Amino acid sequence: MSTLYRILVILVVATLIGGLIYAAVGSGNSTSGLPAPADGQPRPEDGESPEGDSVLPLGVLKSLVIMSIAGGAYLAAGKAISRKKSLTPKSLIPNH
Amino acid sequence: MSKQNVTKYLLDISTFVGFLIVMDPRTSGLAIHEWLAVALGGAVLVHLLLNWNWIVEITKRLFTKGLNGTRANYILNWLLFIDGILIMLSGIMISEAVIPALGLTLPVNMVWRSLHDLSANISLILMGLHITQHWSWIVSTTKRLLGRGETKRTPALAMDDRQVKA
Ligand code: HEM
Ligand code: HEM
Repeated sequence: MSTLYRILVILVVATLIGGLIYAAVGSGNSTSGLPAPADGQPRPEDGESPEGDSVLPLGVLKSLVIMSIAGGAYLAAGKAISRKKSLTPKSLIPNH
Repeated sequence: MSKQNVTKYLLDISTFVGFLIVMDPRTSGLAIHEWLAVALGGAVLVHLLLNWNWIVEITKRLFTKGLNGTRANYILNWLLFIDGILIMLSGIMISEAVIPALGLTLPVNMVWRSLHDLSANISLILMGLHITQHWSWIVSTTKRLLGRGETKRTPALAMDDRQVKA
């Protein structure tokens, strides 16, 4: 029962946030002036076919590189901050 | 290792692999992209249920002193959640497989397409930070699953069965 309740809480929060985003975007009419594409058809401006046509998963590599850079930058920033903190007198740090 | 940690670990690894596939729709094709992304939504829901105690505890103690790092992590998790909602919503609004398969048509608004692209790019950065935040847990759990981390109990391992970390 409590799991159901938790799922409900997550879904309600997600719906509220989604509703806010939807309202903010002010959806309902096309701002592009283009007609809606026919069901299942790729849009005319699509360079590639919607079916997988790339053999090397370059997108996966790209994602891994970007995530690693973000993580590395985060760690470097964290280290820089803790180096600054370690300059504070040891007596202020508990257990030292 | 507790059963819940094994479940967490397997779910997290599969979600991550799923995320990488979804981030590359040109390789997978649009239909796989959309259906897998919908399934990922379910996986994230379970991920949140498995980390429920942390969410509740930190929400309660958010304004107490000495929670700086945890507070930053808490905000990061919220950003990840909000960005996830934006990706799913914008994805649904531009869907060419899932929504037509359900016999539905949605109003066309090209803003959703740019938002989908933008939120997916932001998610890469946020996911990089989220994984970095939990890197020691991932490494120690991998070692234990491979049977290589039994003898030496590092602080990360000692915290392994915790429900809540501050
Ligand atoms: C929208 C997506 C996600 C959201 C909102 C989210 C949220 C959370 C939250 C609230 C926690 C518990 C608090 C914490 O320790 O930070 C957590 C923990 C964690 N998450 Fe995520 N997460 C998401 C996706 C992922 C993905 C794709 C992975 C896969 C690598 C992942 C890996 C982890 C790990 C390893 C933990 C720590 C588990 C532990 O220490 O017991 N998360 N996440
Ligand atoms: C975890 C969730 C998701 C992620 C990370 C994600 C990521 C992406 C990325 C990176 C692209 C390529 C954008 C580009 O090349 O400009 C894309 C395109 C697309 N996605 Fe998603 N997506 C997700 C969920 C969804 C969902 C749930 C749907 C629909 C039900 C969807 C429908 C689409 C469509 C139709 C396109 C092609 C758009 C175009 O023609 O430019 N996506 N998505």
